[in-house]
Amino acid sequence: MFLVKFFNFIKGYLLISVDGYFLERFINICIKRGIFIWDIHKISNTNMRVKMSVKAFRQIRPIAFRTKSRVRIHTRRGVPFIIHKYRKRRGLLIGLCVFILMMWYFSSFVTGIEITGTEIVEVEVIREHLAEYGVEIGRRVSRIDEHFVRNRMMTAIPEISWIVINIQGSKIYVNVQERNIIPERIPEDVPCNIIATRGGIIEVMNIRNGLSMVNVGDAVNEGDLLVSGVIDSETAGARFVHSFGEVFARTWYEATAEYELNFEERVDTGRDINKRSIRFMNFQINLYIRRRIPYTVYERTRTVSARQVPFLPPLYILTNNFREQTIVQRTRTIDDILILADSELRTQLNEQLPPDAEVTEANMTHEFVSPNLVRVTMVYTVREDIARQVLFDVEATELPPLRPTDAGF
Amino acid sequence: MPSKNRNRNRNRNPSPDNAMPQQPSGIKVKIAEALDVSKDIVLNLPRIVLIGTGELTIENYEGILEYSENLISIGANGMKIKIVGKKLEIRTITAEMLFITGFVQNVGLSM
Repeated sequence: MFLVKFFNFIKGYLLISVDGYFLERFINICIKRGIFIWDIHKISNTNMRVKMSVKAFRQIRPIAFRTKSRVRIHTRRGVPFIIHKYRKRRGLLIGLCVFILMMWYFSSFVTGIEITGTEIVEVEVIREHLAEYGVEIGRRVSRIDEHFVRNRMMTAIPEISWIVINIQGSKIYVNVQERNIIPERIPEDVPCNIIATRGGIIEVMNIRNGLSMVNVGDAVNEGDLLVSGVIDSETAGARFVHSFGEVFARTWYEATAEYELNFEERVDTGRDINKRSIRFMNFQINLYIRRRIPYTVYERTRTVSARQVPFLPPLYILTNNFREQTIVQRTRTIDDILILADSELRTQLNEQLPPDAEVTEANMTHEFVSPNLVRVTMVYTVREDIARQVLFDVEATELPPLRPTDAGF
Repeated sequence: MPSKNRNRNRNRNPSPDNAMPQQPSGIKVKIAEALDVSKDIVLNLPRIVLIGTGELTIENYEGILEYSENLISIGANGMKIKIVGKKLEIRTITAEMLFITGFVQNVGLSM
């Protein structure tokens, strides 16, 4: 029904007022003659309003004469009449053309780039690289060669395994697939050595293959050879092996921090002001008049929020929040410092530890650097596997000469 | 089924039998029944479709006899279809089909 109405509106139609005593007859004759009328609305006994096309209206005069009714146009509706109404208004027509041209022109520029799928690689890095290859806000969309950009991006950023560049109107959607960087595993048939990842004292050695170069109780440095992949035995002779096994060692981790007994602390007074700006594409509009910040001591927090409007580049709202602060002189005892240092240094150390490490001991010491300054040191004693397989150059390694027993072959 | 309408008719010109109105008969009916095709096409009988109380479509009509907001009378192959309601309006009208909207209260048929 809507479609029919819409079609009629496009074609244009007339609302006709018919006055007469034989309105039913009028309708019947119209139908018999194939004149299409619709929405017949009876207003009174002698008056009705019908809708019909302009073409139908030209054929209606004889029917009106036959039924002795008076016909006149009540309203003209539809697109042709609207155009007719504005036909003399040149400015409107020019404005419409200019508007369409401007829409077409401005939609041919890149107005937004949306990057998804990033985890390791920074979005900004991708944005910079894209700009290098011509994908940037304000550039012509038609100049972008998707294949070229894709290939260049994949070679430029090694962390990317796949990149998709979709151009939708004036917006560009970039989907990035990152490479999973798996630690290199040495295949079991490739000879290798085992070295220490960290210095420490060896506690347990479970060597399943290879020649141990150190013993339990030995102190090793980072990078020392623990297990050699070159074995020379009396029965089998000298050969290269793929050494593997576990070497548990006692290692140490240390963290230090300095604390003052009398210190200054910045405390919020509760007063703050916001200075907001709007950024749209490359234009920034400040929503404040006075640039000056009325506080002498303050802390600034910046927040950026994006408003996404369909088909348009994002609208960024930048908020600078200034909180007034006062400086308060505070004093604390050595016990307070130690409690604080304990939790702070522990979190700091836990971040450094490898995932499978086991903390066996934690020691905290402190010393006064000056009467007001305390240096606190926390030392973790850790048991961890320090073995790491490394390849060695098989070609350059010379096997020891055969033993006399082997020479008998 | 007795209705006011029929009682009034009987009073005006009393007829001897109060049987059902005569059904169309003849060879056409028999053919239509034998071939199992709908009779509205073969016998040119009106087809009246009423959806709820708001939309009424009549196919195979002949002409409009009376038209006002509360009553529409339609002639169709010797029959008279009388539609009583409120705010009745003819939405679409073509040579074969008639589409009425409004609040339909009563659809009466008489020969």
